[in-house]
Amino acid sequence: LTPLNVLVVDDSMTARAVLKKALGVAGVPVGRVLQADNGQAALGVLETEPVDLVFADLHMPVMDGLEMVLQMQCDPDLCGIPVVVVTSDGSADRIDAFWAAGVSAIVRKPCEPAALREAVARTLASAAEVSRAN
Amino acid sequence: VRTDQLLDALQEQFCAVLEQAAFLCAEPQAGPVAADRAVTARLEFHGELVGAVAIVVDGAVARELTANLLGADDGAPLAEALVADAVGEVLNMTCNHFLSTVTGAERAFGLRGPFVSSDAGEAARDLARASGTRRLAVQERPVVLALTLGGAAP
Repeated sequence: LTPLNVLVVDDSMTARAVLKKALGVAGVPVGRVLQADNGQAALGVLETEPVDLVFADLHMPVMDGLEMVLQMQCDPDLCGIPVVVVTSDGSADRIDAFWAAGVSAIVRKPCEPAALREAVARTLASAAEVSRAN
Repeated sequence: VRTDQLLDALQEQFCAVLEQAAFLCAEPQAGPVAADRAVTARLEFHGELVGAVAIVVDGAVARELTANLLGADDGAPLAEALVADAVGEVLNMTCNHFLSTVTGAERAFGLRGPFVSSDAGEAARDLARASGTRRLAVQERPVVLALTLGGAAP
């Protein structure tokens, strides 16, 4: 598999480091790992850097994960980038809002590498299907 | 729901998060043990319930959980900011799981924080205003969970 350039968006530096490590443990082929500490900063990174997959938290200052996903969906250059939400918030209201916004997968913190691997596999399979359909 | 039932749920979720994320086990502690260079984190919530959860973590435990979360080598130097961030992240995960457990995971909560401090006075204030506390030991060092109910939603 081609290594993926990923963007990890979380206001906790610990959470970003843990996710980066978990991707390695899960055996996800990772190339560059870019980081942002809120949704607005992440949109800035996405404007300038090629990213294959975004991992985003929900609760963040400045711009939360849901607003970031909604803004990505409105941008023709960004709407095709799959987003995996990694959050400890399990409320049905927020989970439903993320699915409605078009995220590819949701993983609950603390995340197990196996859950992460499965989410990435499902996301890539889904993206490949969309690509074939187009 | 009684405060002690909520504290039971908070303790259960804290222990689960600590074990799953940092491979550490928390046990109930009978008497108070003085924490050394404690790190305090507080997270406020508002929704179906309004209040705050706080943890006061002994400094050695805070460094141990940070190292375990990050998979850092034993004795590797850890910046204070990183330790504070790790304690805050553990509280964030604990609080979200606690709220899902006690309210049925249907409704969303607003959260403020975590506010993390190494000031002993801040820890004392968090414990003094709490509706209830649980004293735990992690690797024989003290950790205190505090739950405060009520207060104004922002």
